Amino acid sequence: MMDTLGRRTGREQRLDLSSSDSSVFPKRTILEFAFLAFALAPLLHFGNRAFLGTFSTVFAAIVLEALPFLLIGSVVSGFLGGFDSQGRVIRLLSKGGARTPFVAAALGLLFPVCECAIVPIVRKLMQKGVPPAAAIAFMLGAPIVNPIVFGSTAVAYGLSWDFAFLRLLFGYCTAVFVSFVFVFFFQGKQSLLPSLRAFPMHDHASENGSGTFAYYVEKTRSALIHGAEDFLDMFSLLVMAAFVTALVNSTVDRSLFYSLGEIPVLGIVLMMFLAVILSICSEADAFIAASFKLSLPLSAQMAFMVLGPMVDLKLVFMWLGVFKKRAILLVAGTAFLVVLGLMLLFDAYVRWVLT
Amino acid sequence: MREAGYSTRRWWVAGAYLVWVSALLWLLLSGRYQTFLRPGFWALILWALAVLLLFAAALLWSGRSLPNGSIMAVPWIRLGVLLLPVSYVEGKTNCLPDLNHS
Repeated sequence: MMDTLGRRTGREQRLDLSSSDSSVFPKRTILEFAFLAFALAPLLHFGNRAFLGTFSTVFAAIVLEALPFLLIGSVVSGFLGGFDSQGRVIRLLSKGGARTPFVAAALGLLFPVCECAIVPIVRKLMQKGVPPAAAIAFMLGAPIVNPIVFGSTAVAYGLSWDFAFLRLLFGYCTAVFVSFVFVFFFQGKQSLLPSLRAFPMHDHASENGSGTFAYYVEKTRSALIHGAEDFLDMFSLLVMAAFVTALVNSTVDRSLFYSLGEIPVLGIVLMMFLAVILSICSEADAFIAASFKLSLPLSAQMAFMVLGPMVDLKLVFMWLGVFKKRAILLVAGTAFLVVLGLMLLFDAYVRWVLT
Repeated sequence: MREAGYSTRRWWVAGAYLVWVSALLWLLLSGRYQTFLRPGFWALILWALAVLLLFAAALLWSGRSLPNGSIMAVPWIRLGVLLLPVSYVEGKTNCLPDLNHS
């Protein structure tokens, strides 16, 4: 995809959603322009005030709730770029070979981050050469397999530690399985957007004078600039995702979901769709799932909590700034099918135990 | 030219971050963040405010070397997208006060 001088080919530029070369109006700039024109219209013309009030609340709430977590991810990603120029993290995540996804999917236990924070971190890890299997396992596993989510799930279900543990187990198994499927189709940096593959990791700060106070100050500044760059790129995608999610939330009649959800298999599928649409943070979604205790089977509630942190509208938009569309379809589709399969088994098991 | 372009653009990006800092500060001090979030969320808002302030400071603080990363080539339109939620927050809390209790 690169010529002998390292320049990007025309096809590569056309495919590049994250390219920021404004002279050729790449897809991302056109998308952002169209979005901004569409999104500003409701503010300029107050047609339906009640709708606008609900919509504004949902939109701002999604952005404000996700903002601190996205910043956590950007800071971690910035420090990975600024301080880990020797690639120690890559070596750590590349050691285990085929076993790496099993370790990576559980890394959330040590680094508890939600799905908003994970995307910039994974982007940086993959840019630095972490194997895709490990990166995907970490990206899908960490938002579920972490102590905060474990605690919030247990609390939401009346201190049911078994149920919280089951959620972690389902999340872990799905993350590992999807990562193995992913590496079957994509190797190395193939799944990344060309612009991310083309950018070598650069170190803003000179390695001269390492160990001195000035060196660390310069390294910190460099890490913060890395973080600010990552945040700028990911935040605009988050804003667009939050807007679409808020629009869907404000227009789709949820009571339809509730009535259809009474049929077990349909309930699981509908709750999975609801999880994708609502895009609730993994650290809070258990409280929403628990509100369905009386109306939906446990398997449907679990499906909501397992799929939501892995695949939702907000995440898919953010992935557009990292992965090729084929890779996104593969991850989302496989995760959907694996969760569906696991939840059907779980449903059958629960029914068998109850009878 | 490249350094001049970067220099101008980083001021704008830092400016956008500072607009967010002011918006978060206003939401925090007035307590209006509770229109959108749970009361206990103030600590995370404070964290976001501090990090954005640090990002802005790092961009404004001119060091010896300039990064050849994405800041210089960021389309202007992205700054508009960045600031869009602020206008909705402002619209919700100021222009539509009667809807706050709906």
